[in-house]
Amino acid sequence: MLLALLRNEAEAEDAAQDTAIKVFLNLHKFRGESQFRTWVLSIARNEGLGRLRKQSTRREDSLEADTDDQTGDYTPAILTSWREVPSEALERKELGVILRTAIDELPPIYRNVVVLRDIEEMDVRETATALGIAEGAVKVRLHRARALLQKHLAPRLAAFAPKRKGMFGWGK
Amino acid sequence: MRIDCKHVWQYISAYIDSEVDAELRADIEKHLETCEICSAVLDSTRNIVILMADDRVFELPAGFSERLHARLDKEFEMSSP
Repeated sequence: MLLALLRNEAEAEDAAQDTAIKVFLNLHKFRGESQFRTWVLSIARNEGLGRLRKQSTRREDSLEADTDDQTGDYTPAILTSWREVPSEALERKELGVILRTAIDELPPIYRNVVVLRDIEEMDVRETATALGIAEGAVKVRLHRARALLQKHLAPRLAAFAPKRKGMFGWGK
Repeated sequence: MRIDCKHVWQYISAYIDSEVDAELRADIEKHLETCEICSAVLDSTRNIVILMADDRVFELPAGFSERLHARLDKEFEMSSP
């Protein structure tokens, strides 16, 4: 999550280390009201989002540099060759790299939403609260993020489809 | 109601998250029954969503654990009286 949010391996690792220290220092505050994993992830998320805010004040490409109405209609990648979930495909490292790169290249406002919703699996309300945006904006941005990822990734991921006859339809 | 491909693409994400109402869901599913293109778009989008949720996509870098322990040791030393 931190790497996807911060897009910099060194900074993400630094944030992960800070998270571990905060977890240790605040362990006495953990009341068991949520799962330990959830509690740790919320600390990591706050660490990541805090760093992101600092970055956005330093750099021109702020979180809101992009607007919701910038991308309207889209044409998806139309392929029928990557329809099966490649269950073992993730064991091939290059798939992870392709996926990470595509997420990394998303405009920040879409990347942050997709990281929290699809990687971190937070719900719409939690995502809206974490990013300080409306729930409707979360849904719109998530839709656009997924659409951009589909368009970019489907042709590349087709190579990971199982090479069984009869599965590929008419596509490439 | 008969809906076209562009209409379906507009609701792909909401459909995956089960956020479309019953009527629209039925319209989309009726369209998917006969549209190979939209079925493929839906499947590939869903696959991407599934892959992103897989922990293996974001593996820890080599030496992460050692560096974390070194940092924690340093913090312990600094915080102990």
